[in-house]
Amino acid sequence: MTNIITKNENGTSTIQVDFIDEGVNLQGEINVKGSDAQVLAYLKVFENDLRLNFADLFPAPEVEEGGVE
Amino acid sequence: MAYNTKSIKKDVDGKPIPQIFDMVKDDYEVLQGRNGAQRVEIYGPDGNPISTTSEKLNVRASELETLLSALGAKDFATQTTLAQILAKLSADPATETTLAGGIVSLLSAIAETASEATAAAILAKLEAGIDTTLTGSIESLTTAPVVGVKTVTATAAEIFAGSSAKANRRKLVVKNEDKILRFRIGTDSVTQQNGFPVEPGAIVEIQFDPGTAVAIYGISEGASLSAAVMEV
Repeated sequence: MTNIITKNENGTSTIQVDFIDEGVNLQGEINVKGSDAQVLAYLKVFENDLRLNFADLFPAPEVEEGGVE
Repeated sequence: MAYNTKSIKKDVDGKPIPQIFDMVKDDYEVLQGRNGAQRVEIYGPDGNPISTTSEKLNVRASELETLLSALGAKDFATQTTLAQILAKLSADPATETTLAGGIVSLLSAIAETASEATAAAILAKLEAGIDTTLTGSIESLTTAPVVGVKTVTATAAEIFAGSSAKANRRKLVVKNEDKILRFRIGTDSVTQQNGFPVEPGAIVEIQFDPGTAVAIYGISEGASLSAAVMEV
């Protein structure tokens, strides 16, 4: 995932994310109000929300072969 | 009799002079003229001499006279009247309001010329009651709703269901899915103290003008929590 954070004049920051580098055609954008650290922290939250809400777009995780020893 | 049965005209010296043979007179006649040109008689395509009226050739004279008579009967504006019109146009042109009023009057006049059948149909429709369908109601879905889960943290962030705020959204429905914590919603200046509180399990519906994008921010009063979001 790639991201761009833009600081706006009204004190908010715009987070733009793109999952195309993972082969997933999904882009997201959200405005957040807070310090740089808070914005960076929220980036991870936003990413997780998108992966959850658009789980059908992401490849299913590979299941390791083999049973319980 | 034929021309070759008559003697041609001769001058004093006994020599032939310019002459023509007049079949009506059945004799040769001196060719006359004036100003160095000989007399001629103009014949039409039908082989007959073109007639004259008052010693003027009848060359479409009657048609020209009719047209001139028609022009003479016209009531042409005088130079004074034209000058008055020009002054009026220059000094007092019609305003847009006046023109609009004129158009309305014209349309009304056109409407009044509706046929009897059309007028009767309109009247019947009015008497029967006009069925109307409201469009643009926020209660009616026009596009697929967007649903999702939004994590509300102690940092104020926009609340929406998809990857970004739904374009032209008409309604935002938010449910606090936490059983203990509440969060607050408001503008980008919302804080943990001043926003509108959404109690645990509570549902908030916000209606929008689809033509105006309005961002709604949410912030948790404590730890992060989940909110179910639907945008219509």
